[in-house]
Amino acid sequence: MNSLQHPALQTMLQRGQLFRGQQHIVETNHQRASTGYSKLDQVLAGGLPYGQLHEVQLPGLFCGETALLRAPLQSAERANHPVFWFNPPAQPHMSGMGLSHARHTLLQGLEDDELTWAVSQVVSELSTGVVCIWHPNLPAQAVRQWQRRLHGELLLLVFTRHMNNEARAYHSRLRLQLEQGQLSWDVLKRPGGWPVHGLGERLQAW
Amino acid sequence: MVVPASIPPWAYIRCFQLYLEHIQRRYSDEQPVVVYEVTGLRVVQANQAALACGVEVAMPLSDAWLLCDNLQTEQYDEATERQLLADIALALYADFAEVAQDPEHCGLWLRLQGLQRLYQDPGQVKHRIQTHLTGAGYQLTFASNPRCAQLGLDDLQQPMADASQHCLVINTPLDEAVKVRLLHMGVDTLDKLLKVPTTALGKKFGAPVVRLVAELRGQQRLPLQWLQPADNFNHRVELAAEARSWAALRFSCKRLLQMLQRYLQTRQLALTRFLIVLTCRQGLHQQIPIQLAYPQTQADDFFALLQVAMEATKLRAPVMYVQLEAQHFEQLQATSYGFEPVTGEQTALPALLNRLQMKLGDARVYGYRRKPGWMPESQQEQAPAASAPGTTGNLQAADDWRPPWLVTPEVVDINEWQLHGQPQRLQSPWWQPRSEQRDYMLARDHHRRWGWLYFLAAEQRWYLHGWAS
Repeated sequence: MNSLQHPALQTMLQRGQLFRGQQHIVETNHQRASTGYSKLDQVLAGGLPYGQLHEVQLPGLFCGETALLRAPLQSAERANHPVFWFNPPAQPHMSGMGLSHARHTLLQGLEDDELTWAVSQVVSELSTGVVCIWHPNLPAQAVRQWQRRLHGELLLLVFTRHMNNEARAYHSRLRLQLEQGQLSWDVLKRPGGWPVHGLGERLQAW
Repeated sequence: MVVPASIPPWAYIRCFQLYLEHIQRRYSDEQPVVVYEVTGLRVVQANQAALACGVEVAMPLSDAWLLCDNLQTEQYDEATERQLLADIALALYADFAEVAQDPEHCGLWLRLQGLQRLYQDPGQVKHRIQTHLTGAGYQLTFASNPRCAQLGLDDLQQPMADASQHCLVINTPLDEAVKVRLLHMGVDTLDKLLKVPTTALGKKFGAPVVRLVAELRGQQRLPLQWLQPADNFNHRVELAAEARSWAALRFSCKRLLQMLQRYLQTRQLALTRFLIVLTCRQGLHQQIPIQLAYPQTQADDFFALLQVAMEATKLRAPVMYVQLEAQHFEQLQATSYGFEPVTGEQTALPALLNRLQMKLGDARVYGYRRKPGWMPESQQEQAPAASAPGTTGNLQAADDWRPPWLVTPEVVDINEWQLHGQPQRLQSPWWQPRSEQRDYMLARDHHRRWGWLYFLAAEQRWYLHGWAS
């Protein structure tokens, strides 16, 4: 008798107290943006896929998260795709980022409702580009809607300074740790794999 | 061989009841309605239901009341009727280059002489006029000169002597005293007037009668004021009833925006801002400015933005009039997409930016534009969201490193930072009023984050100017 056929296990499966881990095929046909960190890219099958919503939890600002922007921004630069910055923590320096051709739009000082509305507009209208959001927390319903609407190549990155485990429909969820000068990444959620903790990386300047 | 009928040189459109047709939409067709003039209290315009009751034009209002119990009366508003006539003239201007207004008789002259290639026969002219005057009552006359056209004399189909037999002298624009004298002499129609020798007319009745005869014979030109459309768009519509909410204003706003779209299309213009003025009964005005990131031409696009603005606007009082003012236009630019198919994003982005800017304001939705400059903070400037992303002539060398983030310079304690690498000296030009010499260095704070610091020799202090991690 197969061990899973045991009546007690079957009961737990039906009640949802136990779920069966199945082989998940990582979609490799998605275009991916390198995170700028080799170990993280390896765990994420090459980087963050476009057309998805990704959350990055930070202990503070400028702790190494800027490297995540490099690949998507350069891709947008090459393709002349629009880039939207929602509540950026400082002034993006186009010259420093090596950007001159992409169409950048900054939306500053947005409240919760305004930000939700504005991101919804962008997600529903555009099919290509990059959207970067800095916000403490986003409503679960809006996140679910954006994730459903995302199509084409639009990449959404959400930077939040709150370390939380509230359920959200993010495609992947990363947590950056910076303790005593040591940078490490925790992958809290990723498709096709278990969470991974403590991916040590070296924090380099842009 | 069939020779195509040539179009006549002049046409005149007389609108009989323009003001009545304007107010008629407030009432049902069965409701008798008359328009009266306040000075003589006489009926000047009456609808079909009122005419069926026996009401006649020029009848005293008191008699009209006696004939019709449920008669609705409206005071004649000459200014509104003139505005309606001007609107028609402006609409006709799209098809006829030379349009002159005759507000005294609520009519319009069209000079057709130069339009022979455009319209081959009078039927086409009638059709074009009809498209602009659908639903309006009017009389159209073709003639060889403007005065004959104004008096309804079709001197092209029949000889002048025959055409003028039924035209009464009392309908001419002569003074009342002259008309009375002509009638006393038995000259009651124009054919009789035209038979009288001009010299005798001049001696007996003076220059005005001689001038009228010369105008009828085409010997003297009628002074006309040709329509010259204004450089700006300014239209006002009166609401059928007081509007207390945006829902009640939508139809009128759409109508105004469609007029604006026609205005822009005929002139090949685009618009980046306009103003909606809502006027209340007490004369209070409420202004709603609409600012666009990208120039637009379509009424639907304008309406979508107006809707966003109106959703955030509270009406202070019930609205009676809606006015649309547009003054600042841009030439319509042709968009070239090359051989590649037009993507949805290319058309969606302008509309999206317009919507974001309308809702959030242009102070919170903007872009950055690179520009020539020595110091990091002067190498880019805040620009409208729709502006070009880059510019040439950047004075920064290609291999000069800059951080990805700039912050407002703030004083830091250098003891909390660990400096790395070699300094880079940046000096603002000597001709600027506040010339500075800064030595920039990369440094790490106690969290090991990378900052971009500079030492200001003049102040002997360190500043944090950017982040690089």
